[in-house]
Amino acid sequence: MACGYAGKILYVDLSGMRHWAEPLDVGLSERFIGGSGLAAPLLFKEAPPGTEPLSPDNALIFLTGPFTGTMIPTSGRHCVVTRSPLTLTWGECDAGGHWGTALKRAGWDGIVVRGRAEYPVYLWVKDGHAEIRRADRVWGMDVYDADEALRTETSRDAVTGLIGPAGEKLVLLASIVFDGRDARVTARGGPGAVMGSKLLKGIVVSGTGPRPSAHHQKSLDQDLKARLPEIVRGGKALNEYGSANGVTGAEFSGDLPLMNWRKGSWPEGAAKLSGKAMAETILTGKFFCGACVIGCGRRVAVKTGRWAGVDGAGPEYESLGTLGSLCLVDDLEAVAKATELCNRLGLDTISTGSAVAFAMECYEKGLITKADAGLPLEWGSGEALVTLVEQMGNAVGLGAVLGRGVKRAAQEIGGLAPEYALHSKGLELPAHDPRAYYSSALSYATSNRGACHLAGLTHIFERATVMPEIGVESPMDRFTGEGKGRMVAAAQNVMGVMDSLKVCKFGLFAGITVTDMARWYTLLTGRETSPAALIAIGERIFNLKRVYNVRCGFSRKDDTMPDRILTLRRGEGGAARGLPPLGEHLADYYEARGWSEEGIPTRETLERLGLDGF
Amino acid sequence: MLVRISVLLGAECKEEASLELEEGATVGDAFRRAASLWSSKWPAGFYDRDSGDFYGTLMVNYRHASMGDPLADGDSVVLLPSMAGG
Repeated sequence: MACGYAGKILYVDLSGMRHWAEPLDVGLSERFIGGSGLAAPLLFKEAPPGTEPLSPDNALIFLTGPFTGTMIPTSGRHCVVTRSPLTLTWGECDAGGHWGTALKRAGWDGIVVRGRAEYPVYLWVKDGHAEIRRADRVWGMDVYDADEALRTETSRDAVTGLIGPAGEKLVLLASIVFDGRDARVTARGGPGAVMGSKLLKGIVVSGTGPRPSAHHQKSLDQDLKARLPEIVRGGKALNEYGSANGVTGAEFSGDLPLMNWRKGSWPEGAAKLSGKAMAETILTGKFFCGACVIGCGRRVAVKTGRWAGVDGAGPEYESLGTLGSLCLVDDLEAVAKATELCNRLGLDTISTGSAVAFAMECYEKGLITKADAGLPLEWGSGEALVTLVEQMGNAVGLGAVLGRGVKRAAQEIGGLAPEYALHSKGLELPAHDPRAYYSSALSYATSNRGACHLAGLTHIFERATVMPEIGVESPMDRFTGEGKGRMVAAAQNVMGVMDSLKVCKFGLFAGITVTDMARWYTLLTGRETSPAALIAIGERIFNLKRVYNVRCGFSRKDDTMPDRILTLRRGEGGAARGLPPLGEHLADYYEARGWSEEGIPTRETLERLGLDGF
Repeated sequence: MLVRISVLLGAECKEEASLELEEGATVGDAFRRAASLWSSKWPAGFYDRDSGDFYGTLMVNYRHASMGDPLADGDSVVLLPSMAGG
């Protein structure tokens, strides 16, 4: 087995209450690297397209990448892959923290869970030993409390990955939360509901083994030593004020979503939610994920007032942009409270905030009443925000409807509600407005898990980031379509590589390049590669995920964006007049991908990528 | 002798203006000149006028830079509101 890999995967069958180790398929690791790339062929095998997401047949795949556990910067990451119960598509999430590092140091590349236990259980992994234990005592606990209880029961040095009440109650927006109070979350698409359907409360890992050694250890050490100062310098702004520092800049450029995507400018509100405002009020500390040199994690506490008691991971940019600005809530402490509730109950902050904004618009338009919600759902109301989050996490009241995601909720509420439900393939939009960066429309529409900013992260190339390895030598004009189809496809390929090696996307902001990644992959594993070769693997990975979706019935008809994004201008602010021409971009994109007009990878494309067996 | 540089401010990354600075000028010199000219148009939280602190990302020719880095004739300085995503 190449260096960087542990060489084995833990398989768990909860129906049979048994587990066993299987060697990592070397050939697959060469063709798909690791992480969500390697998870693609595994999901085909363990949960073929068509598998009912909340049935025992679905698989929940936790995978590290070859970089995980090493000192390669920002590599302390892992992914969770499953068939999504929210979107019914390929489901994929990534998280930082220390859980992936612990798993690798315990001697495992990943864990594949199938089946359904007869009673609540958790999985305890201590180095090479695994054990399925009863979880009756912690079933019903929120994530922070269960983290404390299970680390007391196992090892204080252990790292947890847990669902909260939302996952237990099969809320379709349920997440899996890692690292307890320093929450790092795999959230999008409802993986927590899949875990809950298996009666699996969590996976607790203690890894005391050495970090993976490198094939060319001395050269890798020297390389990292030379590169780290620049990466630290590039990540300084993120370290100083966290991802929240992006809020005011996003508002300035028209990127920050406001009032369920209906408003164009909100500078005063954004300033109240900024990283600087956080630093001056509720910030208590910072934290780093494994092997990170940036340190964007925030610890916050609210000690007095209406939202007193908040104590844990602070809101990230996406949480501020959805629980905050999308609902016009400018009370930072209320947003911190809502974020903590999402972490404790195990909810995706992006989809949850989007569902609250959707409900507020339904209330404004008379489709939801005060009696339905239990209180007025006025724009900007922190009380309404926090109340609805609690309802959603506990699957009660109006929250039970909203917890099924805006697409389903709109169908249940009826009337014009579907117009207020902003999603693609059933996944609520993240907090970057495609009217401000046109490529985001195409990137969201074609993302395999539904509207996702991280599958392409293309707006950074319409801003100031360059990536010569994919032909972006200078930033592109954000309000034109020229060259965007090809750029989006190439960027998605790169992001797929990062999700497979395990490199944080924030590493790009700090200056990590594809050339760096290729060099580090060679030095670590001994496998000779190049940026172009890695990107070609990324293309293979993206296409295989697409094939999974095609086999689930998805095609061009689903590569869409909400009408509001395509037809309603923001009207003011930094992107007042922008409307992304998605249809025009889509044709260029399919051509660049080698897909048919219906968005299906052609036989020639699959053969070229070595995917004709799928 | 003077060096002539361009300064681009985030988001649109359109050329805001060119500046002429003394030879040996640093990124910090360019930043302070830009702030004195245009900070009234900058987004909240990007720059603290009282302390002079800058909360964004500095780049020269699209590579990360520090305030102390020297500038050469024709350099392009980008003052970028921080990007976020996660």
